[in-house]
Amino acid sequence: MVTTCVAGLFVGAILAIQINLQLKDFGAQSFLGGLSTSTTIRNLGPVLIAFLLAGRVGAFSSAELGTMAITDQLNAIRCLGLNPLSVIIMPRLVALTISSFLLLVLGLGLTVFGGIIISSVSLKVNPLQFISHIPQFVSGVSIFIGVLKSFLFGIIIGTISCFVGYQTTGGAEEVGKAVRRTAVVTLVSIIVTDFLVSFVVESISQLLMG
Amino acid sequence: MLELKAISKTFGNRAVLRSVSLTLNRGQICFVLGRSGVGKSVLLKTIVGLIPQDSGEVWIQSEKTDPQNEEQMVSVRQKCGLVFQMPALLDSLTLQENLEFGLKPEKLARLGKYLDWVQLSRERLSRYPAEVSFGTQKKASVVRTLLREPQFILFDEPTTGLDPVSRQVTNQMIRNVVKESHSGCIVVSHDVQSAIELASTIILLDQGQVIFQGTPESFCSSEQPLARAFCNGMVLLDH
Amino acid sequence: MESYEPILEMSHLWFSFPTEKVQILKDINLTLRSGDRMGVLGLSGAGKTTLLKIISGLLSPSKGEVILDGERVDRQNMIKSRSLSQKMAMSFQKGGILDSYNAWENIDFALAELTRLSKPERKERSFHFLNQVGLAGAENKRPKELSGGMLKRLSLARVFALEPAVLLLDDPTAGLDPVTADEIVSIIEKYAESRNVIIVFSSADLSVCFRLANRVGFLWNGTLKQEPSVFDFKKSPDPAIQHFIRGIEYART
Repeated sequence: MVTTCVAGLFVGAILAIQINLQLKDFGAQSFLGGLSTSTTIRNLGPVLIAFLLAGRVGAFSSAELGTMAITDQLNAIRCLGLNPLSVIIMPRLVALTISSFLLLVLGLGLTVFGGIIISSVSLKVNPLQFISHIPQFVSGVSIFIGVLKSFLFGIIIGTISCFVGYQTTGGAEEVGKAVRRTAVVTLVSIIVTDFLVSFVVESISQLLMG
Repeated sequence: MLELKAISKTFGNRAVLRSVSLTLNRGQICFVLGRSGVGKSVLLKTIVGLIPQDSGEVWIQSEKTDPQNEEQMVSVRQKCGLVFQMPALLDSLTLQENLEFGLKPEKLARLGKYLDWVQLSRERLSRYPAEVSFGTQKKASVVRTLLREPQFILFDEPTTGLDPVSRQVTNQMIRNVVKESHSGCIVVSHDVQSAIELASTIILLDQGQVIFQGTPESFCSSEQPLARAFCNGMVLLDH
Repeated sequence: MESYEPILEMSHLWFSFPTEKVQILKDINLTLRSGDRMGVLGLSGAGKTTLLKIISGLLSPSKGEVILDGERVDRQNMIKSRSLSQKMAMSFQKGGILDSYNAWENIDFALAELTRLSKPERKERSFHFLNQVGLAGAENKRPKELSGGMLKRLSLARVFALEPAVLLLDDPTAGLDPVTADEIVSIIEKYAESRNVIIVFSSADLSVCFRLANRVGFLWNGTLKQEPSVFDFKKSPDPAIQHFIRGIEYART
């Protein structure tokens, strides 16, 4: 929670600074609010925050499930005539997906604040001006894309960490490996998904515009 | 009746079980003894389908189990509970929640009785596994299995690493459970003393094979070298 | 070297964990001399491992002191005094074998840390003690490839190789089958025979304890009930000891 908030604020701030640098050359700093917010929400915001969550939440849950797998806790559940997939894994997967999703959306919201704060404090852009340009650039579509990505990333983080953890066999060393595998697979999946969504959305909007 | 017919299992090129057969009726206790790493735990996991056998059959109450059929295994595991060597309780739940986990509420009615059998006090149940002793965790894990009212209970090394007093408490618990619930028990162990006190049948495994099968009395007088080595390890009290 | 005989003294040892009120050890006094093989029995949680850790200097007692050959054993002294840390070796219940090294390297690194031997000498000594515990031929094997009993042997070979004056063994046969346990006991006996060494070990297993020990102590409610010999211990009139031996629960006071 705290991690996401801090990350959200700073991601917004970083992007505002970057975009400001480019806009300055054109003397178009008044567009800063709109442009930076739109980029953040549509693209980098969800990705960066999802990376953080993957490290925080994903690694934790795969380590936890991995430990349960190697200490026979999951086998013990099986021996009670229960299916660990339905009584342990699924509830956890759903909870992780929803909580990751909510955290991502919260983080995204905070990126806007991060942008505003840094703009007014160090870039000397009036907050009101920043905000006034947001609607001009940030359409419902941008927000939809941001939220859609957050949702997909939530599913990715939840699913991968649960299943990699669940399939751990062997000793304590294997739990470490499961965590590493979770991190790698999650991060790659997030980037690929980000690309696919952006690509599809751009294609559709091209079609609609054209 | 629980019946194993010529169970074999190989890991890589190591034959862990070679044509192991045994029969167990309800109300009986069968001890499976053997050196560490001889495949005793694998045998138990095979019975409940956690490790599928390469060949051979498991019959529980005249029904043949099929490890590939997950649905059937679920019902098999309800009839045949396995108590792991490590208590394997869920760390994130209290003992009470562990016991109730996935259990039909009406089955909880007998909780008090089972707690008495294993001598576990109710006050302990509000604690988390990490907050109670190993012995208490182990008792809770037995109660968790009992609540499912299995017809057969498999114990994996219930007394390994316990001091003499805890060992007696555990043995008393197994005796109680078998007497009261009239279930059949397979106990995998290398604790000869407990085997002699409790078992109806002793089976000695070596290199995946049954090398001795018989009553505790015949085990002690057996000429089988490994059986002798096991019996020699016992404490002989001069009293 | 031949005439050197270690003396280990514990006087008025008290111990409790800082966050808990329970006194785990209460006023323990014990003097051990070369050739003593002290078995510490007790229920699980009685403080057997704690006592061994205090003797080894890993834990500091709340009150009292452990003295080896006139030197006080505590954390600081263990770090400062090389001779002191060389005289003491402890083998843990879980073995403490490092997965990333093979069998002989597991011994070698400890020797490199605690002795001034050259690399070839260390290798020779590692191989020698692996041979002693019956692991000849397994020198280059990884811990993963070794069974539970073999890992136990390896951890013994490591403490043997340090040739300590005081050898502390925390439940050396924990979780082993009786045949393997018997082999481990023989290995320890054989090692102890030819040396001036004090062995203190804990055990939950009466048969192991009675075979290996020549002195027995029973930890009960924080005190160490001692008898001069195994024979006296078995015959001890103390009700707590008798209940323990017979495996009957006896109310703690």
